[in-house]
Amino acid sequence: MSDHDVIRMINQIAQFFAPYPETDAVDGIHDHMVKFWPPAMRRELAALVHTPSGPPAALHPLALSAAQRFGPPHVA
Amino acid sequence: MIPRDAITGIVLCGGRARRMGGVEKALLPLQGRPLVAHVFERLQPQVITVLISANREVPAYAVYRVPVVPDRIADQGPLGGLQAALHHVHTPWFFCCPGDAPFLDRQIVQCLAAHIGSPDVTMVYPHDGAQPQHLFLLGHTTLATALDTYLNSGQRSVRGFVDTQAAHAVHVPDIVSSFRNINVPADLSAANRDSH
Repeated sequence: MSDHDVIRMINQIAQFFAPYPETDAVDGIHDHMVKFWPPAMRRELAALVHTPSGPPAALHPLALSAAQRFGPPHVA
Repeated sequence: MIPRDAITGIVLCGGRARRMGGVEKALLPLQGRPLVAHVFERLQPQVITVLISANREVPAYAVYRVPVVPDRIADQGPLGGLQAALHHVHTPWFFCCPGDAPFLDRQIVQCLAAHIGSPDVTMVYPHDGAQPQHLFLLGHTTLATALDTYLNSGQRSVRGFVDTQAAHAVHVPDIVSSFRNINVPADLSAANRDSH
């Protein structure tokens, strides 16, 4: 998947959980990724979030909070 | 019963539309909006994420802000679109529907999901009372492997593929309009007339 597609996927998940209280929504988005996303896709998202130029502006705020829980990807 | 956040929606827009002069059917206007916009609006609240399967006019689908997946191999019919999309599905279940059937029922996914009760049922589809509607399919994502095998054997029939699986039909005669699709120009004129 392209970076755009990863952002589009997580933004949809964020919209799905958006009606819940913020903490529950972030938990829900994070749990969904842990349960269903392949590790490579989670790493791709973590890399997008932890770039020096800052996270992509297109990222839904709830998605950003959930993605930041993964921490920066390991540098080889 | 499958929770909504375990289901990805797939809108199949990859058809060649030979009876419509080869236009991108899902982008034809109904009430001033593309057919796919109606499908998307009705499908999105029923699933956690949506993917669009399309091969032409891809930029036109960007407005829906969802991944657009092209076929891996051309001219395999709707199953080719489903196959390509399934490789991008991360949830255990998927629901697919055509991009040219704008009257999709707003509870159809939930209705089908209620009939997934035992582990050996990996696929359910609606039956409208007159005929099965195989393109409105709720299935387990692991079917991707069986679908690869089926297409690799040279077969293309949706019904044929469904018949290879332990699939259950769900009778839904009360939502027959959900399956009304646009195949010829007269269908589109009639749909525009009826919805005014």
